[in-house]
Amino acid sequence: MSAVHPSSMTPSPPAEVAELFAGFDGSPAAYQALARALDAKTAAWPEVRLAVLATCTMDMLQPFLVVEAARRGLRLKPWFGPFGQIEQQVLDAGSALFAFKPDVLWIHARLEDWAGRELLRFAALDEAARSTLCSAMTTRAAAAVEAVRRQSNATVLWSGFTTPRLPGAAGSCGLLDARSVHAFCQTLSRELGGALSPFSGAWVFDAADAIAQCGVSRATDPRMALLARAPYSTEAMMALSRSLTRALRALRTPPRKCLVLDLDNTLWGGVVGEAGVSGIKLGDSFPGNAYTAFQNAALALRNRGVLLAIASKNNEAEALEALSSHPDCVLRPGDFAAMEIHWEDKATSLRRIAKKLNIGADALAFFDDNATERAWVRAQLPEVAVIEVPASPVDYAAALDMCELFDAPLVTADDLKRAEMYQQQEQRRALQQSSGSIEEFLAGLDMKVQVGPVDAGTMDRVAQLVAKTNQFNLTTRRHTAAQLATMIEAGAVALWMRVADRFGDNGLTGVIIAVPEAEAGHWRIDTLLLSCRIIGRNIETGLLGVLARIVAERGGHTLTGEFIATAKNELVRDFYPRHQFAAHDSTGRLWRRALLPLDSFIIPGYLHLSYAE
Amino acid sequence: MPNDSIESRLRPVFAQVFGLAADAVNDQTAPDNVPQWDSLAHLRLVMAVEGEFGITIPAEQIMDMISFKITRLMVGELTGQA
Repeated sequence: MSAVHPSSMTPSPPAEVAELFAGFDGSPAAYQALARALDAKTAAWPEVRLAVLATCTMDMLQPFLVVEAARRGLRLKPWFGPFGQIEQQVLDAGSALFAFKPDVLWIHARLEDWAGRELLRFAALDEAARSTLCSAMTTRAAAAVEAVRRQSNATVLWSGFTTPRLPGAAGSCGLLDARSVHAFCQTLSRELGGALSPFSGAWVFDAADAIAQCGVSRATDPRMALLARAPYSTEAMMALSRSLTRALRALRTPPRKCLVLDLDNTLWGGVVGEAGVSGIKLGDSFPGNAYTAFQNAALALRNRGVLLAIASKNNEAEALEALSSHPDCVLRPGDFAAMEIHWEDKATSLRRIAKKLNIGADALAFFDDNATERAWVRAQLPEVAVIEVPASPVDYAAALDMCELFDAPLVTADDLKRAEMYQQQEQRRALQQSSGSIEEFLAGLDMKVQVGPVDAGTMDRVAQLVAKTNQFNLTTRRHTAAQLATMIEAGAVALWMRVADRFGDNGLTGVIIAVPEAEAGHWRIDTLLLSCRIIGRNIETGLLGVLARIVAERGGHTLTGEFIATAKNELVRDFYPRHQFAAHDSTGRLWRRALLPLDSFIIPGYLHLSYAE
Repeated sequence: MPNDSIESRLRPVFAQVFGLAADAVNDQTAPDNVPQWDSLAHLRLVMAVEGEFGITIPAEQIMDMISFKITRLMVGELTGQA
């Protein structure tokens, strides 16, 4: 299994040109040859006339734009205005620009070309001067768009301002100055959005993001900049073409409304019907975390308004049990607008889903790891968008983005209704600020702590925590999974702990292990650790309380705690004295406490702790 | 022969950039006899040659690259196969 670089994951080209794309290697020469070959093959497609006006030479983008557009089902006819003549073209009703009759006008003005002199003394510009510079740029852009609108209804895509490559950060301002040219460009692009908002069909195209995707340091070619005023590297031209044609496609093609997902080896690893709910791969460690990442990506789509549905060949009861009760399943039955879980064919399932949701099959996208199922759906329901699924689950999440099927020019307020999850972190912080005492804050978190015995389903994650936890770790003993299994076999009490709160699930994040000692009734805490992300919530007190009760049930009456100091666990040096353990040696390593009365081992009520058998 | 391999890799690059048949490309191929070899196509040729061989042609030499033969010799030098 190997990860695929995201830029090589691209939407599948339309069937008419698939053959031409089959041998395409992405080299500059191949782009040029393919652009030529596509011209004949796409003759029947409606033409999109793209005019490009820029402050630099952009003509070299031609083959990249044509090929990337064809990949997205668009026959692009680009025209490039002479460089540095934005106003000359848009203010003249008889200009070559308007004679070309563009459907889309892309305007790419670089800050270094529009404000070169000012940039050279950027550090000397005070806040007022920068603000003046900013409004000069946005006013100039708005005036140009206004002029375009007097002659043409073409869609206008205006490139957001990219960070100029000045001679070193020190050439523009101090290295660590938060008010850098880069920050200024971001402000400028945001202001540009406001300045263009009065014009319908005018958008800010995020050119800076395209440049970032190729890597800012690889985006420019100083030779071409000086020889031909063509500043961009081949890679940057490819990245700009990908992003621009992606935006063009989003402006012309409605997003798919519903993502239909398979279950086995798609939402989780393995087959639930064979491995059982506890045997499927899902959770914090590899490869389960790849599936978790994919579920998260699907949830993100749901949060911005894409419906989710299931089409799975499975026993419904087992599949539903995994969805509703597997502790690491991100998507729950309530997240799906429709579920088809049975042994009928998937084309039938997709038809039913479309009917139930009252949408066309052409509003569905289908994600299934099984190539045979994908081929079947393609043949039976050609209007369904079948997503090419990468060989490794590592790449599943990226594939959901790179398929571009859910792209929309804007996400509307309606789309966002279910997007509350995004605000979780914000709310948690707000709560902390508004709470008077720490107890109030902890109570307000509405925690749900779950503790249970380490078993086959949790062993991998437990072993991972044992292997890597440094700070909240009393003994830092790096037991392997096999060693842990042997300890449990020999009578150790090994417990995992997971915690969720009103803002989300933190997953399996704590482990405590006690082993019986030679002397009857004496037990020793071999391991106690918590993941950093849940420190400071007194969860450890509850975990100790559960352990005490289980050890007492097994006939224990005395608990010995151990603290082994390392370079990183200073945080827990006082854990045992804070929990009423008495020093049992003079080095601070061994501590001891009677188990009775058990009630003295407090489990704070705000943890809402439950024990899973 | 290393020079043969440069030549055999360079010929399809020229063919792709200028839309020629590969066997129509020879040492004499130059702007004089390829009408579409204008200044823009020249830069596209530079990009394509650099992409094929993973080299960077120095700015000073870019404008000297005015025939198949000169390009072939230049690539040989830059790849250490002259």
